[in-house]
Amino acid sequence: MRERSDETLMMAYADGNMEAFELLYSRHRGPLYRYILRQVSDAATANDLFQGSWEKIIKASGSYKPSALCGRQAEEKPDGTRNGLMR
Amino acid sequence: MTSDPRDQQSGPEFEQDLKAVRSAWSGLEQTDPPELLNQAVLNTARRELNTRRRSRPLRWLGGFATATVIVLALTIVIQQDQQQTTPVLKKTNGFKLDQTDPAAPPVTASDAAVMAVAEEMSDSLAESEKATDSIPEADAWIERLLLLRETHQDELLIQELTAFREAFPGYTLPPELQD
Repeated sequence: MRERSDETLMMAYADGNMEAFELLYSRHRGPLYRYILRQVSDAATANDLFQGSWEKIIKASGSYKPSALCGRQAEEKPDGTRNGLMR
Repeated sequence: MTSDPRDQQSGPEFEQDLKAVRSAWSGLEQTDPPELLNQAVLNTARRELNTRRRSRPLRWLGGFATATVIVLALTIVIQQDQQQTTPVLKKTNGFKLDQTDPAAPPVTASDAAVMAVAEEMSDSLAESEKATDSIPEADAWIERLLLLRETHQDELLIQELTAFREAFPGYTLPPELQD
């Protein structure tokens, strides 16, 4: 079965599909948490930042439009360099 | 010159160190958010969905209102088009057809018949209106003629009476003026 993209999952969640959000969360929670943990080196602060980030994603999901690059699409720029926040 | 550390630390001791480093590295890579944090995030997501489901009827109502306005506007436009297809009648002198109106649609055979009937009606209405209006006018003229007779202005009376008979040939004159 073909893997659903992050954009598809966000749109599905915006339409009321909670399973889509759970999948999206399980896909990105580890990388995002480790990224924050590396930046702040403090578990409590990392937890706060992590939760705040997801809350912002959840609040913005209602007006989400899949025009901006995110996740795996954002990693590969046209010139071949790598980019992105979720890794 | 560099040397391979495995040359100096060979055997089970090195293997143990390697295992420890590997487990530490994999432990670092597998650092995940605490389970409580996961639950908090997922609960927030569920709450947000419930909030949106509660406010969804209002969104539906907005769409329904928009559709209703569009249907009403279309109905008005269609009714106006239907009104414009009927011949344009203007009440000028009675009912006169305004055939010079550039906005009026082309006239068909049935429309022409309707227009002819309407013109006949307007002509007869105009004649009856004219006759109705002329009766008070004739009475006033008769009064004036009687006044001329009383004041003995005979020449003027004859002229006026001739003019009156030409204007109202069927009008019955009072006995004072008949001789």
